[in-house]
Amino acid sequence: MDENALWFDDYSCGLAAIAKQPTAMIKEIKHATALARRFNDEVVNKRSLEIDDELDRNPDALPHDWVRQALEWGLYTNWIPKIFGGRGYCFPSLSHFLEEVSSSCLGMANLIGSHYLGIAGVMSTGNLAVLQWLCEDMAESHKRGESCLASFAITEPSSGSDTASADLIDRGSISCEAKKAPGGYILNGTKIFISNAHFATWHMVLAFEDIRNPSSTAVFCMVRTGTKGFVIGKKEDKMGQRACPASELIFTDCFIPDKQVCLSPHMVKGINKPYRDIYQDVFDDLCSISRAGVCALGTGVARGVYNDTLKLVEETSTTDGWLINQEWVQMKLADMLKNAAVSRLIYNEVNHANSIYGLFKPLQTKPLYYLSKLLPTGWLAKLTRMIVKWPLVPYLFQKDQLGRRPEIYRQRTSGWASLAKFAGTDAGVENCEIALQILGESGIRHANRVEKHLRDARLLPIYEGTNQMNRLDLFKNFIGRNSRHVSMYSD
Amino acid sequence: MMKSSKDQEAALLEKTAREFARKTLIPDIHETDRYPHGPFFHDALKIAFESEFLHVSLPETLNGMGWKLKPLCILLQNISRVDASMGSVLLSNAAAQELMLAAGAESILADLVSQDMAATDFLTAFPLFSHPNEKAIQVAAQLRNGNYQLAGTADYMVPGPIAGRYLVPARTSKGFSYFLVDAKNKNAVSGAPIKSLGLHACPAADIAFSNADGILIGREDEGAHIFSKMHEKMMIAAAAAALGIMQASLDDALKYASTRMQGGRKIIEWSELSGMVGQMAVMTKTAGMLLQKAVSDADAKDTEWAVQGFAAATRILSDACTVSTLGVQVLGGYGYMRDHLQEKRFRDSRHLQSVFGAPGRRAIHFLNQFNKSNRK
Ligand SMILES: Cc1cc2nc3c(=O)[nH]c(=O)nc-3n(C[C@H](O)[C@H](O)[C@H](O)COP(=O)(O)OP(=O)(O)OC[C@H]3O[C@@H](n4cnc5c(N)ncnc54)[C@H](O)[C@@H]3O)c2cc1C
Repeated sequence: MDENALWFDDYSCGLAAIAKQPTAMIKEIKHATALARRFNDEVVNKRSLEIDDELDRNPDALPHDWVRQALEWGLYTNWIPKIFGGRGYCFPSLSHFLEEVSSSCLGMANLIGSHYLGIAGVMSTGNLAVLQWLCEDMAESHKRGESCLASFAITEPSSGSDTASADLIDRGSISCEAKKAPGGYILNGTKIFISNAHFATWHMVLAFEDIRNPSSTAVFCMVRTGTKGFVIGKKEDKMGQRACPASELIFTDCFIPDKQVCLSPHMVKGINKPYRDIYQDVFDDLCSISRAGVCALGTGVARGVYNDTLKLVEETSTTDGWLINQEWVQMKLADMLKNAAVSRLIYNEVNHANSIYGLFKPLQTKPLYYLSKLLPTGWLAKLTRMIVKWPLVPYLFQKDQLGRRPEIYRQRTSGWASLAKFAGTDAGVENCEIALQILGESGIRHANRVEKHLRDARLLPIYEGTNQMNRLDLFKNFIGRNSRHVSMYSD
Repeated sequence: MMKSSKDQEAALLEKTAREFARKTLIPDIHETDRYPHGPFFHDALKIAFESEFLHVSLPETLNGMGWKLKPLCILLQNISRVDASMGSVLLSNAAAQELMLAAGAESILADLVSQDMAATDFLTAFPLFSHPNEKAIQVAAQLRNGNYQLAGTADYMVPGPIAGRYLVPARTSKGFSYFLVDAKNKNAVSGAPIKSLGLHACPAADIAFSNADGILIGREDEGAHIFSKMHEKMMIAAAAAALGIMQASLDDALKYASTRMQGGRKIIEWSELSGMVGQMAVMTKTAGMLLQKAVSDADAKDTEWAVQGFAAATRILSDACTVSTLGVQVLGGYGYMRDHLQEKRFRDSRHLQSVFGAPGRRAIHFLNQFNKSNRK
């Protein structure tokens, strides 16, 4: 393929999306941002420092009132498509919403983001049937005033970075086993560091039929809290993002019925690809969505700390006059604003890529988008329920998603998402560091929020793949694919 | 070759500091790092006091080790390798003592060391994290009937909530001066311990003065001059504490990366990761060399010691932040958890970086000092 044409297409997703995306999305994004602002004003800003302090005092406590308040604001169902009974906000607006909430409290933003990560996990397996009943369960619970959150559980004590790569996981050491049993699977093993685990009703769990050959035998399944043989273990005592607990999941002969299995080696008949490649594609598709979200978290903290720093700088008088009039400070503030603005551009680009090449495409093509806006939710959900019952539809949907998407599309969404993940999160952390450079002692006081931003932000370069692994993913998707002699993880 | 008695003394002090850190700080470190939600390390401080760690930078006449930087730096480096909070309590106290010595207030210190008192009563709180040229000073001193009285609030005094007295900068007729105020003075009220980024067990508080009597330290309006004399020495001491954090980060990163397996091999065998640990090692070793040179030049009163020491300290304090960040990243998710001390080092290094003012302004302060020294 012509290299220059490829370069243009790879790095101009936003331009390509202009004509293809419904313009009403812009209004929706503005609406989501305004909602987040109100949520910050009425809920988050009032409690974030207090909750951080309470959980420092008592690390085992769980901030149930936060979960409850987000539920009352409808935040766990707003981004569930209307065809599944949710409010059907477009997916790109979630990034903007998360950015806004992160500018106040990353812990709260991660709590909401991790819930949608669990749902995105199911989406990336292409299993329409599971997606349908899971989302309906969430929407129904919400109507009853009960929270029904999701978590996404792949990390194990001995497998962190390895998990998202078929190459690495096959050389690594895995312990979470899924043994085939009549009518389902029996799970044994442990997951760690799982965000939201203590609050979630549904956990998207990755286990393996053969732990010596994991990528070819992976089983993605949904486990409900309270299932026999499943307990939530230790809650981690973290440096930051305390409002969003991270915990251990322990499975001991835990039976999972077939209905709750999203993807297994037995479900891909007719897809002309080794299961190992499908495993990789599922992760690439998932990360294409989730890493845009994490970039938005980075952007949010970059903005939040910029706002708080500016306020403190405006109030500070020095022996040389107002701090805001010192050139070195003006330059640093300019850098902070640049970091926030550039990060936002980047996650927008990932969303554009996902809208035209990735998993957002089906719901964001103009006819479907407008149809879903016009028709009532109850009607759409009923129709979906009926269609999904007909086994051919989920089969064809999954086959299309996992088997037919051109490789270059996946490289584009995945490449951009990796770039966004490390660029946006590095920018978030960098802004916190710049704030400390400017503020000195007022920056290190908890009451001034800057130090909390830093503690919260420091998690961003670790989860959703460390920033090192994301750089390697960018290399793989955009650089290595055109270079000679390339093989990954072989030095 | 025979070791000189000075070398032997240094080696003994290093051994004592390490033993102290190992036996008295490590066992409770997770609890004391929760202060004020957890306990204060009173017992450890008492042992530090009885071991004369709080006198170490004083002249021999005041039970010190000859008014030198080396003993203080040995202590701070080795103690901060385990817990920079204790290091910073010692640093703040030493900064206050140094300032009094620079102001010629030796008799006040003599009076203090001659008394029998508890460790906390011996401590003098000081605004360790501010620079008088940065934020405008909020305390004013007025001479009434031959006595100075202070009014206003002194921000972030360390270790304000527990100290026996405060050494406070206050505005005077043509500039500012330092004053000593007894913590028992009912017109000097300490706020609650300030919740902060790091150094949790080194408590800070804002102290409100309402016409509290203060003793002038040095001469009126001489504050800037005596601050600068203290500052050039104590920046080097702060860098010693930062070096301790770097060494501990490197130790843990090396240990973890040599055992943690990912992708079927020890993570240190991935060239990217080995480069990260290598960078930590380069910075730590360089910091060690810089510090050694800065300390020996300072103690020998080498002509260039002050500027060179400031430059070295600036580099070390900043590199400690880089090294502790790399340390967190090497440990992955485990590095973010409080069970592992790397997240504490990450916080402490940034907190310490703000010693004597905003790190972003440090290069400007340095240039002023550099120009002054060139003019001489
Ligand atoms: C608070 C928190 C919340 C989390 N939430 C979730 C969640 O909801 N769900 C979930 O499944 N997981 C979650 N995680 C786990 C997170 O995704 C992992 O921590 C992350 O993937 C890194 O894995 P690890 O911690 O095992 O580090 P390791 O994989 O052990 O990495 C250690 C270091 O080695 C480097 N390294 C490893 N392999 C290589 C290689 N091949 N080449 C170069 N360098 C390498 C890494 O970059 C890192 O610097 C969470 C983690 C935390 C801390």
